[in-house]
Amino acid sequence: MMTVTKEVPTKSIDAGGASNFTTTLKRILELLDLEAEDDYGILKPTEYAFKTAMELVVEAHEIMGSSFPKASASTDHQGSIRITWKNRETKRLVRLFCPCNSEQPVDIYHDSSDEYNVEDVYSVSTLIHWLEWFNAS
Amino acid sequence: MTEKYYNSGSELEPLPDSAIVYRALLRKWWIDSETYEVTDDAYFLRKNKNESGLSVRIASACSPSECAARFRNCYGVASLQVGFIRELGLDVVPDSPSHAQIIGLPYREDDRNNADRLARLLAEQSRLVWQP
Repeated sequence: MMTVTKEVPTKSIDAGGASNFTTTLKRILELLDLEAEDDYGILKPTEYAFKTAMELVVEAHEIMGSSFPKASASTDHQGSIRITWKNRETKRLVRLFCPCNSEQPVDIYHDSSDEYNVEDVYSVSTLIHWLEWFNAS
Repeated sequence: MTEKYYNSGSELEPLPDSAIVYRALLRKWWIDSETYEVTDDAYFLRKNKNESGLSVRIASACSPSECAARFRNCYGVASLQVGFIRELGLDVVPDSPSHAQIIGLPYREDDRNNADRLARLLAEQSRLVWQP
């Protein structure tokens, strides 16, 4: 696994959404400090997953600004990254899946109490669309 | 940790809907750090391990702490009622007197929609019953 330098982007951190964004960013960055593997599988994200996640989150924040919502970050058993936005009150959930390698698609799952679906992410606009849906509840 | 269980050949009784099973939470983010709820991450099947089901312990034969003790790192234990799992179209099939598998889940690689949806529904019905 390649080493990834941890550089926190500083541009476009404005008031309001800044804390949500920096909290999300911190949670993604913390994944790099994990051991390579645990009993369940690969624990640390792959470089591909990390770069994909960072690019999409930073780009989304640059466009959404203060409305960027706070997310949690995790890895699966293969080093893919899941970034999850969840609102307990509205029961809405958005989960960005950044795969461990380029053989799998980047996708986004959205779920409310009465509808759910997964769609591929070809650009940041898909992520922004579903984060605005998440915020609109 | 991947555990293998073998049916000895003797028929195991099906679990009643009222039975409780325990799921060991093997990663820290399988528990929400703010709400202490069980997260969806705990309920995805691993295709590269050829998992046919999710490993659970049968509560009538195993305490939460005994469930946790089988793993080097266990961040918590969640409980689920078998009847609820069956309402989702899944089943819980015992393969030893104290262990069972939640079967019927798709691999995410094969059916992203239902893998994600079922993981969410299982997580929502989970109750955190043990933490170290």
